[in-house]
Amino acid sequence: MLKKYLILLLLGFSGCTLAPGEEVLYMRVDGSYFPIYVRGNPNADTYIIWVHGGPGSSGLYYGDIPEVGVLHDTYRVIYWDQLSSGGTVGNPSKDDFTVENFSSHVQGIVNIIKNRYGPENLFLLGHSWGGFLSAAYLVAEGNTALSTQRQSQFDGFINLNAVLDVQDTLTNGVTFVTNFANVEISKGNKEKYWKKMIAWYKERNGVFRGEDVTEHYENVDAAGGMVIQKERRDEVEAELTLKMVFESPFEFYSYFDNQKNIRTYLNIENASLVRATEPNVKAITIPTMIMAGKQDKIAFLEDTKSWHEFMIEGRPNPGDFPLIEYDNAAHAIFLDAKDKYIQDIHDFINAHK
Amino acid sequence: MRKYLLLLLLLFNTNFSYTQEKSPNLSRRMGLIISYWNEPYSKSGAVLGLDWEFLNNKGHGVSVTFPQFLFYYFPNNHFSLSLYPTLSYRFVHPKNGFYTSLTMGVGLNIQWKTVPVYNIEGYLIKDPGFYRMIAVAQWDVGYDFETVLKAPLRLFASVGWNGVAPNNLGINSHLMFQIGLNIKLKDI
Repeated sequence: MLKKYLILLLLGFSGCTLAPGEEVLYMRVDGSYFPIYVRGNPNADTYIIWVHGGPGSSGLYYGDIPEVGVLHDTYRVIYWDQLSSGGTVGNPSKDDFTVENFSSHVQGIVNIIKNRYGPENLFLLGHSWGGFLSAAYLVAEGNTALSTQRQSQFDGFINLNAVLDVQDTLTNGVTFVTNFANVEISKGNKEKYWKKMIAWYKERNGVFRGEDVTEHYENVDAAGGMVIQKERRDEVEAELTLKMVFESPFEFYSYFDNQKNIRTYLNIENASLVRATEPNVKAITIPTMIMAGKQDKIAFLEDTKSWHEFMIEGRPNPGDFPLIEYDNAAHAIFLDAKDKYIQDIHDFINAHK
Repeated sequence: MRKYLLLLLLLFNTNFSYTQEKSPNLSRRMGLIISYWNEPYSKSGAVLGLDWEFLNNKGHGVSVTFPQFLFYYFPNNHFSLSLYPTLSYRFVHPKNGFYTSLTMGVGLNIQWKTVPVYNIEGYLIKDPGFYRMIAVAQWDVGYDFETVLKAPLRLFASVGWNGVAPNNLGINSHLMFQIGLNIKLKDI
């Protein structure tokens, strides 16, 4: 494969060919262009809109992960990038970085997919931060009419490695990493490295902006809380990098700058959808599956359980809101528990479409 | 055409220590630039421009390229057109024909999507285009066939940076590579 890309580099050309049935579209909002990558089975009656994590990651490459790409056999999957993320280009203002605004963009994607394809069944899938954004979109800031209208468009919601309270997530993440670091220091393992990490967290004092978020994620990963199948992750990353460089129909030139911006201006440190006194996930009435990795140290299992309990409390139909736990899986369930997560998605969709 | 192909082949066989008297035409010339442009994601483009060069007898001087257009195609995504004048410090060796220059330029970039564009309400729209500023900084090296062979042609290659802004509250930076011809049109 490397040889193929070396030849492409020498020739100065790229493949950039879309597979049969794939389409690239754009949504233009206030001068920003949001890429939409439509993939999967063109004859499918069920569409999944995939909302990526981060914030500031990209949704466009998920489908190139073979463990995610298997969904393409059965479903039409819509990958897209959020404002100032991944392959989105444009010139937003700093004021545009709000959860409310991001939610309106989700609706824009839904509008486009409904108008262009008229899907028979439509599911919303959010991963990590994308799970928060999707849930916030459905909750619609407590506007009952809008929330009902938005939810009526979907047959179900899949929340993968769900984050529903950002503050809990960050606080527990910092505690996890610093505890892990202290254990490593006491064992005499890479003492300097872990001490430096602890000092870094002390300096931040719980406030993470821009590249701090990236560094925190890297620290969680170093402490083993991001992905269990690290070798597979590295393999996938190497393949994806080459694909993104040579074959992608999208611009990733500013990927890291975009990420820094969104993590600076999107103020979500106190964002929560599980506080009784604020608009929360109890407003979600469509079937919702929450998928949690037992070793996930971004969206901790204990947090997820408590969020799930909050969500189903008092409901007459808790069976429509399953929480699925995955052994030996962290924040990338699709890599750590590839067969089970696919089967669970199939089962959920078949039960509710 | 055959003449130019022959000259290209000769490039690889020319003894660069070959000496001769400085060409009297070296001082001021107008040339047509035609080049192949490439960015690291291996998406291709082409540059077309007029190069106005002013050198002293020792081969040092400046050149201004105006107008200069960059046509760039990103498959399944967009087509863009840039208009960017450049200013270069240039040195052309009066005897062996090697030349080098440092070039900077600023201009306008317009991009149009070549795929369907929708508005947030979900309706297909005609893409009005995306206007940004483009800046270029590059280092060029080349060979002047006129100095040695009296042929009105130069071959050059450039590496450098170009950025378009504003983009997502910053600059969208690209590395670039260029290889092309500068064909002399006339002395000025």
